[in-house]
Amino acid sequence: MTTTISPTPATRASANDVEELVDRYTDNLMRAALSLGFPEIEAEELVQATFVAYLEACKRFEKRSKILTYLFGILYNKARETRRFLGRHESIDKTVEDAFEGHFDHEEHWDQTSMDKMTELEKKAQDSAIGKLLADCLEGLTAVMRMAFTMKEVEGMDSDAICLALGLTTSNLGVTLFRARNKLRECLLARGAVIV
Amino acid sequence: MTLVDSLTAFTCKRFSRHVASELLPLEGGLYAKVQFWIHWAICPFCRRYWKEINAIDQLQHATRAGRDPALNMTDVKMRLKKNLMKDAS
Repeated sequence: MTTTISPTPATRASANDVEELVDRYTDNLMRAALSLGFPEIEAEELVQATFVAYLEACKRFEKRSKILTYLFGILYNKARETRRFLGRHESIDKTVEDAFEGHFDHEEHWDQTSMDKMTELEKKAQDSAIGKLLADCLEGLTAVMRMAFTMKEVEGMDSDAICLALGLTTSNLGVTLFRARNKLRECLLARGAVIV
Repeated sequence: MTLVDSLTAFTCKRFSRHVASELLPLEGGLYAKVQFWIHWAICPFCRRYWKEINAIDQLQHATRAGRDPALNMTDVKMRLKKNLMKDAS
């Protein structure tokens, strides 16, 4: 969908523009805000702040991207400014890398402990229980990890659009997804979930 | 190093980093791709890891999709329109 909401000459948008904007993009933005872990009321406030910022800045929108990508970029930046995500960065990245490295022996193959864990008898868990565990584990991710993961897996956006919205290079995005997935895997396994 | 040694030299660490990064091209061209798939064929633990990573992706998709119907999006949209119009006026 590439149609744009036309900005009014002044920075103010018309009622029709607002209606169209809200009708078309609220579902995607609410999904992203909820995926970032905000409760419903805060998610709605975040989406509203995103629309306000867009309506104020839509004259500057250069149409290099789709509006949805642009809106995701605004939402991500607003989310990062909240108390929820402040100061949650390097320490998580280092933890994920250390945990990942710890699974391999000196020849870079799985070590015995990791292999033993993988061959344990499977304990089947209910989907809902795993869903709850996943929600808990998502709490441990940074804003960029959650946003990248959501845009990729829930919204099905291509990597170029994700990179544009989040200000990442393709290489950074690959590393971010790698860390998000491994952080989730470590967390789920630590809580006894069998995910296959 | 024999040809067999060379073809099976791909490590578990490299394999798992590649599947979880997904977007980063495999360095080493076609030969590395062959090594990658040979490793996939001979290492049950890496196959398992790949399955787990895929399952996490699918789980996130399903969990997110499952939660949305609980939200009354019509009400949310109505409130947003009202607030945004108020801001604009």
